[in-house]
Amino acid sequence: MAQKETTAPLYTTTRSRVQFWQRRNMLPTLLSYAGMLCILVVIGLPIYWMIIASLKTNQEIYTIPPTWFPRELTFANYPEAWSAAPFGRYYLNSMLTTVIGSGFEIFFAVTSAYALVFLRFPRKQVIFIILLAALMIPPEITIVPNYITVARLGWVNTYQGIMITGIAIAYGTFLLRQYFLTLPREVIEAAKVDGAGHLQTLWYIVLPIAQPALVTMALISIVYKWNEFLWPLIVTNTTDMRTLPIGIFWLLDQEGVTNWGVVMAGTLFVIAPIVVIFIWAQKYIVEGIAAGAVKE
Amino acid sequence: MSQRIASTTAAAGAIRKRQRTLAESQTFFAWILLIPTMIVVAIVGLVPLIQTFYLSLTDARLASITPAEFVGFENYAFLLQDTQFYRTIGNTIFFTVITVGFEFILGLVIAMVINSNFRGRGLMRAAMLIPWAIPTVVSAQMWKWMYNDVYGVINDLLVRQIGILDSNVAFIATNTTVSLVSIAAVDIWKTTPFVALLLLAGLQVISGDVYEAASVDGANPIQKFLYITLPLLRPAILVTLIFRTLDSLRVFDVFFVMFGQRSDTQTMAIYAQQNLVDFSDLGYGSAVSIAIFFIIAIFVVLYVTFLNVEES
Repeated sequence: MAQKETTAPLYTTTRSRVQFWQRRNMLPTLLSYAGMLCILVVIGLPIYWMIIASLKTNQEIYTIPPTWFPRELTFANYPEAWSAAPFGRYYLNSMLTTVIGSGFEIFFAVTSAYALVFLRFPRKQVIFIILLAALMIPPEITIVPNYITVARLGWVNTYQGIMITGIAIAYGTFLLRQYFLTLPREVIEAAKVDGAGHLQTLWYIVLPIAQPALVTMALISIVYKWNEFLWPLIVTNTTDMRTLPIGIFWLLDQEGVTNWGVVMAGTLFVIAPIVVIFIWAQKYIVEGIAAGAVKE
Repeated sequence: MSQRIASTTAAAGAIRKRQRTLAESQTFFAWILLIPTMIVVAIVGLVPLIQTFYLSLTDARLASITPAEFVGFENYAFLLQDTQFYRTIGNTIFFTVITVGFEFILGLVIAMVINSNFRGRGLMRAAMLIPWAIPTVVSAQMWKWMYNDVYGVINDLLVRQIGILDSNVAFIATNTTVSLVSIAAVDIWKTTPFVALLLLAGLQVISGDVYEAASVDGANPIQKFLYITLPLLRPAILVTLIFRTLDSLRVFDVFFVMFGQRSDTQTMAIYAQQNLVDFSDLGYGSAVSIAIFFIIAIFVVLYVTFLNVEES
């Protein structure tokens, strides 16, 4: 009932958005800034600590009390980290497996979620319960059987072996299904009445309206693939096939206790591409056309 | 006359037939879309789950020469009397309640803040996600170093810079509760951005017109939050809570990096791993894993029931 009341005004566009913003006073804006400042400090302190650690000399890192500003700036940790392992090759491997692996994951999650939300077919509920059950499986029991499967396919130490999707596909499907459920059904019905087929409805109606959810799902998939450690470690056995997290772990293992600055420098260049993706992707999360699509 | 009736029944029959084939073709199409996902889920998830259940009914050992024997529910009978397993359940649920609770509240606040209109929000949205992008192995190690009781920066901050503590504290070394709360803080720092991201996507799907209509009807911000935002956000909230609870109940790497095999702070997943790998006890480790699966199932059933999203 509440649902009905709230979705109905979607279609009446009598009042313009301008009035809405004008009616707001400055207080919420100020509160937003204050809140943001607190969040930034809490999130930022450890990151600040990480960055300055990568710029400190080794003795300075272990001085007591710790220094909040490096007394002596050094950039030596960066080339040292880069040459400690074949990071160029790791970059290439990580990029290839993340882009292709996430691409498949996103594609299949989108098609599966579309079927689960917008198509009528028997035993839909059973499929949903199987997906939920897949989400609940403890990962430690899947590693060995999955390795055996990949070995049978002859995919050990190959890119397809690294990027073969795991349970992540169930995560993506579940996530998109939940967001697709909130889309205004009337728009999809209208598209059908206009004679749009399922693929057209999916491509031209559902995906643009669900853009925030789609981008979010893509980001999650990319970050998980990029940072995946245990699976690529098990499924590869030569240095030229390894990925960035393995390189970082190797640094941590070799230098962790004695040479923290190098580890931090290495971590920074591993997360740099992800941060660039965040900066690029965030505007697509908030530039959804939910309101506009329904108005027209 | 009779001819006309005959023709209408024929037409009706044709329509019914067409509807049937339409329904059939829709079912067919749905299966085409679902089959790749379901095959992957079956091979990488369900088959290992069934294998594990079978193993849990045997006394299989890793790399053992003697063949495994079927022992029925012996492993489960032992599990019910295993005090260490109960301790790991307690630790894991304590950790889950703290992390999911804080992450949800903080994540919702952050999502609402960065959903509003102000200068610099784009940068803020990208910046707040950074902790989530750091590989857990590194961030856990970094926090371990920051928590250090001698040269750790957190002690420096609280004792020397702000002065709310009298002397340095060994956050992750001695007291069980302090250790668990400290490690929960690491998880909250790392994962709140993920929660905020999921909730932000949910907020974005809600149309601005709904709020506008509510403003015209004289709703205040609190009413808008309670009667518009929360109900419309329910599907996103369900996703968030399920994802986070599942991951917290299976938490492994952050505990492994910070505490190793320390027994008083052990989680369920670490206990399972310890039995499977360190003790080579495939049978018992499998029983622990199946028990974890069912404990997680209880939470999922509770969420799906109470956040009932299937009504539409």
